[in-house]
This record gives sequence, structure tokens and C-alpha cells, in this order.
Amino acid sequence: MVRRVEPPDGGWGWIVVLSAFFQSALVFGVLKSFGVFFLEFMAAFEEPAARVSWITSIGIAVQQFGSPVGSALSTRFGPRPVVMAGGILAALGMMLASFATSLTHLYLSIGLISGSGWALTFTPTLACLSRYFSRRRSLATGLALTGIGLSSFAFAPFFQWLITYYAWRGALLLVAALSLHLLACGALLRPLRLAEDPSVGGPMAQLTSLLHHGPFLRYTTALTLVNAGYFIPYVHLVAHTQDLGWDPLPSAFLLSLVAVADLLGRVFSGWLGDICPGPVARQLALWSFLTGMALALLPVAQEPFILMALVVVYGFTAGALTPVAFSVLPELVGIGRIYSGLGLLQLVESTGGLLGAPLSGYLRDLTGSYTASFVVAGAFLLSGSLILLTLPGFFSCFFLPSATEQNSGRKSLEAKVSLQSAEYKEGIPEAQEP
Amino acid sequence: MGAPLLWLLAAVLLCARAASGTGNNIWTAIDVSSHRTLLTCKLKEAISAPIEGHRWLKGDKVLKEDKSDSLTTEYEVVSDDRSGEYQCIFLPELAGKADVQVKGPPKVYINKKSEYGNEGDSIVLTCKSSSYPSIEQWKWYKENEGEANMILVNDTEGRMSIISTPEKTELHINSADIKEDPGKYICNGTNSEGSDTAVITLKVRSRLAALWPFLGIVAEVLILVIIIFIYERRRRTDDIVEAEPPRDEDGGAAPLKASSAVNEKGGNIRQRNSN
Repeated sequence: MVRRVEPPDGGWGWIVVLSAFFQSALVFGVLKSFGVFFLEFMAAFEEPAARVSWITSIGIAVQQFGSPVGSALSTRFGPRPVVMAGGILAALGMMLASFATSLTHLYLSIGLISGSGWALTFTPTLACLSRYFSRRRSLATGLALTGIGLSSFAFAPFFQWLITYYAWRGALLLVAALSLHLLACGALLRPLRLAEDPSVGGPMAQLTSLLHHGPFLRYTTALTLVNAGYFIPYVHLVAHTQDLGWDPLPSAFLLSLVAVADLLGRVFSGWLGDICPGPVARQLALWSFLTGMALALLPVAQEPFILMALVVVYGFTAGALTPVAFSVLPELVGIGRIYSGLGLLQLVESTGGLLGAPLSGYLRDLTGSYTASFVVAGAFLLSGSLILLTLPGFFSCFFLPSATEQNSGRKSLEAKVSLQSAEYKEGIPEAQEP
Repeated sequence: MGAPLLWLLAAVLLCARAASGTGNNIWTAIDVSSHRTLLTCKLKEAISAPIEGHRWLKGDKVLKEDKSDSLTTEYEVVSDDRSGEYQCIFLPELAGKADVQVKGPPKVYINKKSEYGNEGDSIVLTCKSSSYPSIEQWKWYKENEGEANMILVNDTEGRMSIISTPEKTELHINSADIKEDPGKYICNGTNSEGSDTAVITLKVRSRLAALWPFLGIVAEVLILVIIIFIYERRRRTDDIVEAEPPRDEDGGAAPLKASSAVNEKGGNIRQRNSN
């Protein structure tokens, strides 16, 4: 049986990038722009905003907590069937939502069903992308994740137009049709057999081995801390500027500025991550550190111009840390365990995200301004970057690009040799490996 | 003979004096021109305590406040809707205050020029006005092309009802009909000084409007998926024709023996051997 040692780093991989681009747009772009439906739901079901916002909270929670399930299934069956099933579920949820007669229906259809669909799509796609690239992994991930940034721009006004023209039931039906494109994205994820795969076993074996993997656990802790601080400005920036006396329109413009800086940061860091020698974890630590500093300094800025500059820096560095965050994982746990690794990582780091925003809100209520919240967010990021320093090989000076992969590749290759000598005896002609 | 005349004269003078202002000690004036309306309040006599400032109110809303100590204060109404009940207050509050009532024709406001409703749902069209004097009569019309506008009235067993207060009027349509109800609705508010109208365009969406685009997009997605799978099957059969039959579904991990023309970036596979 033919297995690659190295990921192809191109070729069909670029199609996978395209698929991942649309996937992240259709999963997170839809989630982020869903707020435009809230007013309609509030009016139609006569429910307060807090109860209506549970819809997306449930959806996000199901997506995060369901990602290990998506990963385990992808390890077993390959990413393609799992993502296609996820696409069908996501679209089905939206379609059922268009017939909803109460808020509970929406919790179940959008929150549970679509959320499960999203759980089955996002993590497997990103893991599949990591398998297709080694030298250009950061760039590929960065490009794919720009889908989130662009779709947040485009979908909110688009959904608003759909609601105006078709009413919210018709709009949900059309969003369901839009989400069905996840099916097509999934179809593009051609399975890839890599050399490491047999040596790392099935999904349960992988999960248990990961839970005993020291560096992986440290990495997960670091990313959980980063996640706790990462989302704070997205949630509270507008409120903070209004506390300072800004008008609503410039505040919203500020968020757009963050989004643009975020996009640029992702692509730049993706490019940088690949051409810089040495472990990618260093760059992740750098970007987390800078983001933490930007956040901690944010309350100090009173002048609009300085605030704007800091916010742009925050956007850039925060966007920059996303592609490298995904790139560190294959170096750490090996490409064979990437599905399980990513799923588990998403699960744990999401607790950071879930805790971060309410914590900062609580601090704000306690102290009366957002200063404490931003400083604490910055502290989370800084401590996360410090933990990253403990990862293996972090301080090596004489590193070659993806040397860790060559190491793990070689080890599994040695394991493969004995396996394949057995296969030679079975007479399979394609096994030509040395 | 002279004394009663003098008393009469004094009484007339006193009355005339009182009529020029609504407060005993404040003189008010309204100067209306085409672009602006200037309201003036003047304390007729200085009081014992010094003036600390002025405040202008319209209804409950504070329009302007200042800290000057002059006996005269002015307010210029810039907005189009100038009619209303204004109040000028000399601070501290006991120094004096006066009401200045600017009468004028009403201004009718609507939320949106176009309203959308779903077939079978109930729809409410609203017009508002905060003018002074308040609206005495609200009327609703539906525009009829070519013919005279149709006057809408309360139709107790029918589908439409009108609920009005001096500040706002609502046209309730019970179960929107997609054939009869779309069109332009005109609300007209009248007070003693004049009247004003506003136009709302109502569009009724059919229940199944979104169905056709939905089916179209679903069909498009299915076609895409079919194309993707057919393309991949053809690549695999090409591989089969060129090289040994592959045992698994990999498109990317094609056998080594296949020519590099078939593989994408066949160079990568070559590199593998040199490791």
C-alpha cells in the first residue's frame, strides 16, 4: 500500500485550501453574522434578547465540544464523509429552523443540529489541510482562515437584505441552501494516506496517547489561556469606546479596522511561518506576547489616535497568531494524530473562550471600566506565551525546517519498513519504498 | 368724571401689559421667518438675586442651557418641526419662567418609507406627529392608479381598522392579501394651522417566495458534488490506464510508477526517495 512520507505541499492541497476557505466562511461567518436575525426572533416570538442570544451560544458550544467527535470520526473514516455529513446536518438545522414556532425549536434546530454539523466540518477540514502541507503549512492555514474575516464583512449585510426581501423564515431557508455548500467543500477533501498513520492507531488509541503527551498538554494549556484573552476586545471594544465618549459610528468603524488588520495579520504570519527557520512555536509565542502587550496597554490609551493604533496592532497580532497556532500542532504530535489532536485542542481551548468574555464583563461590572478586563486579557495572553516557552526544542539554535517532522517521519518510516517487508511478501507491486 | 376715566385707562393699560407676556414679569416674543424661528424671553424687571443662567425646554426635553447673567435669553429653532410648547426658565428656578407656544402646521413622520409584510400576517402602518397644536384628525387613504384615492375607514367586520391618538395613528391590516393590499398608503394629519401627509409603500411577500431560490441553490450544490466526484473518478481511471491499479481511493498518493504527467507536482514524490 502506498503511503507518503511527506505531505504533498501543493497540488491538490491548494484545492483543499479553497475548500477550507469556504468552510470557515460558512461556519464562522454564518455564526458571527447571525445576530441580524435576533431582532426578528425577538419580535416574532416575543422573547428578550438574552434568551434569543442563547441560540448562537448553544451553536458555538456544540461546535466546540463536538469537535473531538468530528476528529475521531475523521480518523476512522477520513475527512470527506464526515465533513459532507456535517454539511447536510448544518443545512438541515437551518431548514428546520425556518419552520420554527417557538424559541425552543430554534435552540434545537440551529443550536443542536446545525451546531453538530459545524462540529463535523471545521476541525476535520483544518486537520486535513495540515496533512496536505508541511513546508507551506502556515501560509495555507493563514489563507484558509481569511475566509472567516471576509465572510464576517459580507454576510451581515447580505443576511439583512435576505430578511428584508424574504422575511426571516425565507431568509433562514436560503441560509440553509448556502450552508449546503459545505457538502461540496467536503467533497473536495480527498483522503491522503501518510506514512505515520498506521503507527498511531485508531481514534481511541490516539486520544489516550495524546492525553499522556506532555508537550501536547502544555500546548493545550497555553492555547486555552490565549483563547481566554483573545476574544475580549471583539466583545467589549465598542462598549469601551462608548465609555470613553465615542459616537456609535466611529466605534463600529474601529471594529472594521480590527477586522482588516486581522486579515492582513493572518496572511502575513502564514507567509512568515513558512519561510522562517526554526520551530513555529516561537512565532506563536511572539504573536501572543505582542497581542497581550497591546491589550494590556489598551486602557492606557486615551487619545483617539493612539487607541486606533493600538487596536490595529491588536488586530494584526491576534490574526497573526491563528495560522501558527494550527501549525504548531503537527510538529508537536505528528501528522498522524492531527485529527484527534486538533479536536481535543479545540474542546479544551473553547473553555477558555467561554470563560473569557463573561469574566471580563464581570470585572467591568465590578470596577466600573474595562481597564481591568483588558489588563486581565493581556495577562492571559502573556502567561500563555510564557507556557509556550516550555515546549520541546523551543530554544534550539540550529534548527532545520520541519526537522521534527523528519524525525517523526523517519521513526515511523523505520516502523513502516518492517510492515512493508511483510507487505512485500503479500506481493503488492506498488510498494517501492526503500 | 375724570377719575373713573383715569381708572378705566389704568385698567386697560394693565390688561394690555399682561397680554404681552404669559408671565407677570417676563416678556416673550416669537419672530417667524422663512428660515428660522427666534424665541425671546426678557425679564422685565431685575430681581434681587443675580441671574445664574437660562434653560430652554420643549415639552420635557432640554434644548439648551447657559450660565450667562443677562436679562434676555433667546433660542433659535433650526429644525423644520418648529411648532410646539417651549419653556424658558431663568435660573435659579424661582427667578421666573414662561411658556412660549409656537403654533404651526403639523409634521407627519413615518418609520420607513417601505414596509414589508407576509401574506396572511397582520400588518401595522404607523404615522406620528408631535406638533402643536396637536392633531385633531387623522385620515388614511390608499392610492389608486388613475382613479381617486380610496378613503380607508374602520371596517369592523372587514380586515382594516384605524386606531388614532393625537400623537400617532395606526392602520391595522388583519390578514394581508397579496393581490389587494400592496400599494401606497397615505396618512394625513390635520390641526388648526394646517395639515401634512406621508406616504408608506406596502409590499406583501408571498409565503413561498424563498422556495424557488432555495431549490435552485440545492440543485446547484448537488451538481457541484456530482462534478467533483466524476472528475475524481476520471483521474483515477486515468491512473489505472497509465499505471498499476491503485488499491485505495487516494488521488494524491498515486503510484510511483505513474508518469509525472499524471501526478500533480510529481516532483514531490521523487523527492521522497532521496531522503
